[in-house]
Amino acid sequence: MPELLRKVNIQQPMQAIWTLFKKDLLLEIRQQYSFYGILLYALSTLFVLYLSMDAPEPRVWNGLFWMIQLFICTNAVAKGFLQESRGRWLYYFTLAHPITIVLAKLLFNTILMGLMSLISLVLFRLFLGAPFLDPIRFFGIVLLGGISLSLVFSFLAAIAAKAQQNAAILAILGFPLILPQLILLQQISTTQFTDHSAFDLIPVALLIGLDALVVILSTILFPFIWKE
Amino acid sequence: MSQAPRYMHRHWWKISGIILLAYTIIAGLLGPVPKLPLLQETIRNLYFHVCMWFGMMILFTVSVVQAILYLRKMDRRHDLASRHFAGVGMLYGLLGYATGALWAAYTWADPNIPFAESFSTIARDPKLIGAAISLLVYFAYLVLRDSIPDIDRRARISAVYNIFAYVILFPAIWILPRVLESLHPGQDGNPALDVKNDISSGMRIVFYPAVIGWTLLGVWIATLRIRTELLKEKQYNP
Amino acid sequence: MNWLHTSSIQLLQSAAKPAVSMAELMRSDGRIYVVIGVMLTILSGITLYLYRLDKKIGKLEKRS
Repeated sequence: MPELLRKVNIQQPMQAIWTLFKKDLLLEIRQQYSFYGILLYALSTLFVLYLSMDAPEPRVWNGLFWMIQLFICTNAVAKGFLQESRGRWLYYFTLAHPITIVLAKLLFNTILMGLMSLISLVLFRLFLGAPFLDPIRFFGIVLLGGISLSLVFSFLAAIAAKAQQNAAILAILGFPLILPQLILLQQISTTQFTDHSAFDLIPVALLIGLDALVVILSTILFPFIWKE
Repeated sequence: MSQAPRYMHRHWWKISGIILLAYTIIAGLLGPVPKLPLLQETIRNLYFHVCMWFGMMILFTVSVVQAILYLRKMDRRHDLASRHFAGVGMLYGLLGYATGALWAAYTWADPNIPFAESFSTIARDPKLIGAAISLLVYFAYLVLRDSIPDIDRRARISAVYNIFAYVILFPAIWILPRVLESLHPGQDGNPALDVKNDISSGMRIVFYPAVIGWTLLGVWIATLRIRTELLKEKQYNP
Repeated sequence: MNWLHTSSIQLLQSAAKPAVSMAELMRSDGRIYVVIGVMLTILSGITLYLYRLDKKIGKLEKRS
């Protein structure tokens, strides 16, 4: 690990982000229990759902799907900022600018959450059926949803890491804030259940706009959180 | 320790706020209003109920401006101001929700079934969703504040959350009614009050002063809280 | 006694007829002025309370 981080260069932000991203990836590969933990979480929640109801109607399917995404996201993303000790964070800050750190973290979390949401979509398809008509397009919507959720929760996890009881507070901070995105996502996906050609571009554009807003805000505000 | 900002000791804006509120009550109850079915005289709630929401939004905006000022200057007074303007904003929001429930119970709700039954339908209105979300977010803000024991860190982290939440929330509140309406055209039949088209100019000359009056009253209450907190701090560390 | 009788009848009749107005402001227009009075009283009560609190805090600020 130290030899990897020695290569972090403040003069080259892109390279710094890439190195920090590789660091996160390496950590994830070395401590596989956390990845499998989230996977198991998704699987067991789904199995409970599967046993407590058979073949839900599309509206219920939709609500359940995005709720499960939300819970997976809080679990997957929360540890991003919480797993590393305070001493190690101080060490990172001697090496890289806070903005590169937060961007690397956002990048890693979006990819992690994208993967998780695709896996949970496959699991949903297997256990609870598929009310959507076009699988490829729904795939894209789920990916976009996973990214939106993970961006908001990554930043909130950074805030929660600074508060005392972090796991509980992440849900309190995040759930009301994510609601607008969640409503947009549910609107987009319900159109996929009834109409084969229907695809409303406006909510998608709004969602992407909100994502861009979250990224910009994170880069502006993150340095204030980690200043000691 | 620092003194309270000077504007908090001025009287002119407090007096004008009270005068505007007195005007709101007199002109609001006597002034001419359009005769609309179902709403009837309850349209006068515009001067009281709707002003709670406007006041809430203005106070939250003041709170976020104070949060930005805190991050720039690291002055404790801005942190206290941010906290207490948000607090009075939440008080207004809760009053707005309660008065809105009362108003809806006698206008929107189906008179044939108990109000508790129709509440879940009414609460789905985009404006109500937005209001509920903002109240939840600011409750979370208070919980976050209390969970951080160190004073400076508490101020910094809660200022960051305040700004983040505000910037995400307000475009969302603006977006939601448009998106939800476009997908549910059937909901247009609601006898909801449209401030832009429905209210006459006779109502407008009461409504805008009413908003200013209620907001000034809220600012007065908030400044009293801020001054009390500053005094408390002075007492503990003279 | 007769004049008293007739005048009391007149009094009763005048109560039945709304034509005679004597400081009827508070009873006119569905007694909306009563509501205004109530609301203004509440407002002045709140104002008085806030004013006194303001003064008290001001005094404490001067002392410290």
